[in-house]
Amino acid sequence: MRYNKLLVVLGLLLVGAVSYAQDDAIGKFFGKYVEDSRFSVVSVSPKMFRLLSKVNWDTIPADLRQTVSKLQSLRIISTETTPFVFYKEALSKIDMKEYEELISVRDKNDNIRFVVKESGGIIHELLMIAVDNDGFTMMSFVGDIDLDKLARLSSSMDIKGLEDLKNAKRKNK
Amino acid sequence: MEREQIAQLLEKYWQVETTVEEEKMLAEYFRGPDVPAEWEMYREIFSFYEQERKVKPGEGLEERIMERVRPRPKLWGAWWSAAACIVVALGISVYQRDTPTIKDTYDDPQQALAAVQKALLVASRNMNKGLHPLK
Repeated sequence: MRYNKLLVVLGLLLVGAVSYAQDDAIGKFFGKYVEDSRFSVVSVSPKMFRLLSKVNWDTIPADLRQTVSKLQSLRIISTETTPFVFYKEALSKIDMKEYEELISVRDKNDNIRFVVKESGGIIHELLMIAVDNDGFTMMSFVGDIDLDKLARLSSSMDIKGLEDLKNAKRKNK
Repeated sequence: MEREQIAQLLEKYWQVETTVEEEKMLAEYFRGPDVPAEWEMYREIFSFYEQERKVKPGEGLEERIMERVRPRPKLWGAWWSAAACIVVALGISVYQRDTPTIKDTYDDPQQALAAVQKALLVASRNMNKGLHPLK
């Protein structure tokens, strides 16, 4: 009997701990839709980021290498089903007390928001929420994020990067 | 009792073949007055057994034993395990707060890196759309 009570207490504490861990915006969204077949999910854990150092980096541009080495985790969730509905839901889940609006793009094709979690001048999380008619994507980078470097990545990588990416994919097949 | 008979019984006694009755007979004989000198040692042996048999357990021996072996409620054990559970749960909650539960999509670091690279590229492009809208 005593041990049953202990188990109940332990169980409650665990539930509390787990729900706390899922408390950020993408965490909530992930928790809700990670098993949903309408969504595709990519996650790279801190453990995997540590393992990345063992990969052959020779073909990776220095800028990218530096950016990746400071990341801790990546989560992406996306869907092609009713993208605007999920975009709204995702926005409603972001606690703007925690995040700061960084960039907001709105034109005839795209709707993109970038928000960041910042403390002491260091950006710890970059959250991107994007929607167009083809789909909805929510992307969270956690780590020490240098926005300037990140913004420069696409121009330096656009051509070479895409080719490397294709090569990397081919190698894995 | 005949000496002959006693000698036989002793023989059996040392072979451990005597019955309880026969052992009683022997004991009685050696308690008696006419034990020959050569059997004097046996008298001592049998009288020793007799004396030992008279020793009775002390008062409430059984109770004292049972008191010793009685299972006690392990109250402290329960408190300690409760404390241990709380420590473990707190540990887990702190650990989970620091590292949100993320289940890896890829087992292969090479694939994971390709995905990270792609994601960074998408993010970077979209940022540039916001930063340089006129391009």
